[in-house]
Amino acid sequence: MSISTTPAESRPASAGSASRGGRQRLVARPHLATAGQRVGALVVVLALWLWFARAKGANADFPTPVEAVRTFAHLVTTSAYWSGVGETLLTAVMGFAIAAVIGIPLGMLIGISRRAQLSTQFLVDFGRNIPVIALLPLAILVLHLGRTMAVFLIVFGAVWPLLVQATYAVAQITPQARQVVRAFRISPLERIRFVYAPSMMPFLTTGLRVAASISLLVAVTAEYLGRVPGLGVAMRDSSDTDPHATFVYMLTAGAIGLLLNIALVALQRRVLWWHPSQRGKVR
Amino acid sequence: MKLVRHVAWEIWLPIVLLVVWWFASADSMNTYFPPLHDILERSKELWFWQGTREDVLPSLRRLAVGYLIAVAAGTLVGLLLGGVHWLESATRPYVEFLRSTPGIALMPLVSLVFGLGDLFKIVTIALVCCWPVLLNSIDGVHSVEPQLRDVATSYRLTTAERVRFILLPSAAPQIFAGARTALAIGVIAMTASEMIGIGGGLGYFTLNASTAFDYTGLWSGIIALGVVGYILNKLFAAVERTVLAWHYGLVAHSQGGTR
Repeated sequence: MSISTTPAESRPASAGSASRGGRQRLVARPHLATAGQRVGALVVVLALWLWFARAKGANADFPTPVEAVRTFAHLVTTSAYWSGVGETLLTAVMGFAIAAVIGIPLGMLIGISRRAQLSTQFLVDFGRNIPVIALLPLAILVLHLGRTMAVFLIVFGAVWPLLVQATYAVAQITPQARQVVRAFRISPLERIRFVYAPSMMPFLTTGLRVAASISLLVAVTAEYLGRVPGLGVAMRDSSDTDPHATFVYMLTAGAIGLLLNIALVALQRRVLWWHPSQRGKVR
Repeated sequence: MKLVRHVAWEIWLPIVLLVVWWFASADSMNTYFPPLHDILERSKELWFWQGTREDVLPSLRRLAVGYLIAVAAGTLVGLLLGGVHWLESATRPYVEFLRSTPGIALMPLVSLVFGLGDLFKIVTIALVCCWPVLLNSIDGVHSVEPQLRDVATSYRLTTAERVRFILLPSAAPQIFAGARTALAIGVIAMTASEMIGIGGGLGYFTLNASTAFDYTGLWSGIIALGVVGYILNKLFAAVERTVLAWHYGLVAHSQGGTR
């Protein structure tokens, strides 16, 4: 099924078609008005936050904006904060890298043959639908608490989008392209460089983006539930005694996610500058 | 005959792996990897039907409520933000930030406010699921053909008519793509929130089995979660095919096929 019905991840062009109507008008807007909106939005968000902290979150000691900033200013000076950030990043990146090294080549191999696709279809479909957290108790038993366990879970979670996208990337190369490179006797190296790689890139970058956010998600979850050092465990330990710190750790996890996303989008834009989905975007 | 061959290609590898698992684990002394036979026996005993009533159905109910809230809210807010450009540009940074926040990181805060019961789980699931729907719905509205907008203007369609006949149908394929992603992470959020929260559910059962040294129970829980995830995904695909039948027909037609 995953081959015939386009999975959500395999629509690299979707975001691009969006920019036609809306964005251009935005760009043309005077800067002043945009800045005004930004400030207005900030005021509204802060007001809502303050209201929530006072009303619903009061007994739960939910931090107000000022308290959050104060806690943040304190936490950034501690080494515990930065080691938490470092541990989480290291775990997530390790898992992500291993998943890429396993998933992309395996997916390509599967994509070459229609029979390999059919044979693995059920396994891949089943595997990617197992909620990876379900494996956490087993992973803790077998691999014990620690980074190995977290990395294993990340690999299990992040390998599927990469594998599926790589399969898709290879399978969609048109027979015409293959015939052309054969007819022109283009050398294997040049085939990869000028024909196969460009046509696969949009799919692979989409897979990488999805896999990256899964990696961070699973890293934090494994830390939280499995007491692996990192932001997740910091969040859990502080949630009883110091909700303000919990909140700051959550914002930190969000900031890492955002930076990761921005970095990957920038990479995508750089690699795919020629692709219709990236054209006309403000650089 | 062609169908038979197709099915045979699809099922031979899963069957081989199951057989390998069966025999490799047959006399397993390793307590963490009990014989497949025992796992299946245990699963039968667990999930038909008491466990299904006590753990699976409550899990599914929470998932359904949280997920449907997320899809509805994501679609509505997405239509609004997609249609009103200044609002979209003003809220963009916050939306981007919240969707990048790993959903699990929200749990301690959600539990701070909502405790550890049903409401906590539903809110967590809804919070995690709404972002892919929202972002895709915004993009979907943006991708409406300019000609259609002009048609709507020249026919003086009311806002409600625009939403019903132009925005929703054009954005539907994208909204579905977002909803599919949301479903997958919704199942993860369900599992994780049940592992932290109290009051049963499949996630709770699985974690509990491992701490109670009940390893066949643990495997049964994992398999049940996998089956639930798989079936939900298939159900979703079926709904998508039905609702978007016109869209697939259109795509096939524009690509020169007949349908």
